[in-house]
Amino acid sequence: MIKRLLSPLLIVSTIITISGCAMQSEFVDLENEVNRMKVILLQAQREVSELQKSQQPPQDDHIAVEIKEQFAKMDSQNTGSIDMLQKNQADFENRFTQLATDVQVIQGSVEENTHRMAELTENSDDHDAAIQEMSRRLDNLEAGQPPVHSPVVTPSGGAAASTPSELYNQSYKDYMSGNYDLAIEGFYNYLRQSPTGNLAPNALYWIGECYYSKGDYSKSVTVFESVTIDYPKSDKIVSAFLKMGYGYEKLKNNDMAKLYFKKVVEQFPYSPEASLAKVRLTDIK
Amino acid sequence: MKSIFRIICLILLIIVLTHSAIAEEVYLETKRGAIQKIPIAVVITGDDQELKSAVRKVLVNDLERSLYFDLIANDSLRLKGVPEKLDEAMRGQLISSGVEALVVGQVVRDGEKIRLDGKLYETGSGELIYAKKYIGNNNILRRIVHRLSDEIVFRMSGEKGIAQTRIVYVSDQAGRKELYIMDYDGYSSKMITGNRSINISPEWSPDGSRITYMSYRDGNPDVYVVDLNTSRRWRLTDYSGLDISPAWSPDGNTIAFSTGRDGNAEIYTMDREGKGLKRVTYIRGEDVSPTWSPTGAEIAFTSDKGGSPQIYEMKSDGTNVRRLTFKGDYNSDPAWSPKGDRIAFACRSGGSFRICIINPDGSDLREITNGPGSDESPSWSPDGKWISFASSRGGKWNIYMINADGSRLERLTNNGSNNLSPDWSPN
Repeated sequence: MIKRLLSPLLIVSTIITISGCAMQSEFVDLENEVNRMKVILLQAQREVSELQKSQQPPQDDHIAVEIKEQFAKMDSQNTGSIDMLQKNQADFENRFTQLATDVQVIQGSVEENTHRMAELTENSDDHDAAIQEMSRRLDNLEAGQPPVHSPVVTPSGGAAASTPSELYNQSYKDYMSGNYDLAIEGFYNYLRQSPTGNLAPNALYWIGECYYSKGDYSKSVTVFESVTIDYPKSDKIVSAFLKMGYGYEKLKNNDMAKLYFKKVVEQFPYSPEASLAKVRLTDIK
Repeated sequence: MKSIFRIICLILLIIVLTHSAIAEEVYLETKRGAIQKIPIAVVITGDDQELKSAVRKVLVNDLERSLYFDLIANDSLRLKGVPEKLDEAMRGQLISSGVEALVVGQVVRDGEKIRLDGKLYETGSGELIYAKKYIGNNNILRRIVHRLSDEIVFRMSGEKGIAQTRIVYVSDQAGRKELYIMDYDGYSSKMITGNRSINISPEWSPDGSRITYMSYRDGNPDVYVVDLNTSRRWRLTDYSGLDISPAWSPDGNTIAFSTGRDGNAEIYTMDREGKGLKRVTYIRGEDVSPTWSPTGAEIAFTSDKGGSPQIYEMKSDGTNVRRLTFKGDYNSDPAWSPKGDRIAFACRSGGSFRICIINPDGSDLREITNGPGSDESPSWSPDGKWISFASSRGGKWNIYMINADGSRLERLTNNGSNNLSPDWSPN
């Protein structure tokens, strides 16, 4: 049932994501075009003002009138072309603004769909775990053994959590409260309980963040690398690559840091992480 | 046949487990609601009735707002002076009315000075557990009582009280939008800017010594800071465009703010002197109103990157941007709670704004105000129990405080002017 629900959502989400990418590249092209038009307009304005500046006070009335007429003609020609350029620029800017709004709306839809999917997958994780547990109990019953409750995995430092999503959420709370050791333990417990769970890439990513926040950059780099290897399709992968770069920079391994910053810029050029990576590539020696 | 039996068993087990999960949730909810408060009685002695009544009123209000105590009426209790230990008769009387702690304050006017002798007893043993003599001018009477209240809260709960905290806010009572500071209960308001310009979005530094704000003082919207100990004011940013909504990191070393220097509003950070500027967000859309998590590891902010203003979270280095709010078409002004477990924000509901709170993982969204008018700019008390906000429910904008569970709404300003953007001081 859940799978049946997920498939159309996945398709819709993929279509939106793909169209989002297409809009993104069109958007960048248009941005470049508007910038090009701005440069042309500026050049034209500069030429007109230079022409006006070079106008010398006339010594002879006849020549003066002729020069004035010529300038007036040139002025009206230039004004016409500037008007046209300005109109074109305004058109482009309108389209640009419209596209920017469209991209934002699509971005919003993608975020909402991803959120709905995450909610659904979180529930499915819990149901999977519950079914596994029930199946195990049934096996015991069929084998004639008394029903034994398996020890419930609990995150330390917090209330007992029995479902994978409760375990995950408690660990996330521990991360937010700065209880990094508890959070690491909790996320690893989640991964043990739900190794193929839908939140598994996120859990591993947060373990990396916890090590990073603790200042254990070596471990954080190792964990972020596992995110990129074990879950290459996760949406955390861009941040994981970037944080590997940050981690290596903290470990004073600038060559490796640059390698990962470049990876982010090349593989995810339109991401905010790419902009952050570019800054690091400029600053790093 | 066996497999059909197995499927039926599974379905039955799912039903049973789901029901037991619901039952457990309700049980926990009931348990959580029943927070034990300490029954406490307050007796103020002295010859000056007016003074006694003033002290009692401030102290009782403070203790009630701490949410640690149930104030027990004790009209029949008669005390002469302030004893070193409660006698058996008095103990018996207090215990029979359920009182576990007794506060006795003897207040005396001595010329221009006020003397307050405060004592706290535990009724079980009759022992004195705290005693202090306070002395000060009449004009700091409220402050003295607030101090006594915080001591009582600390002795009884181990937590720092909020009675001595203050709220900075924006008011147009002098014509222009100037910054004012008042006590957390709305009293003793005083102006701290007077530049006849527009001053908005104030925020206390974590040590309470400075306030950052946005001002048009020199003609351009820039971030300024005022040192409350020296009254010195200076500008932190000098970009010719818009620099707004400064927010201090919990360690007080960094200030995040929103700036228009890249075409649209992006979040930057700088050090406390305005140096070391770093761009944090690279998002197509307006990114404003940053607020730090208490660990400093995360920043929540408002962005319209998804078409409508919503709350997002990210690492404070700009990585891993996640959307937090999905309900409603306008969510803004996030404020991270001091314990890190909740985020308050303004949420649009039916054309006007309400105060909402949500967990940082996106769960447990609650609307804690319900109008009329609009409620905006939430700010947490340092004990994480209250939220101050600006509301237009009375026609003009005024500052209110409300318990984080949506109870005990109190109006704090009443000066006939518009009062906005409250920010609660640390304690």
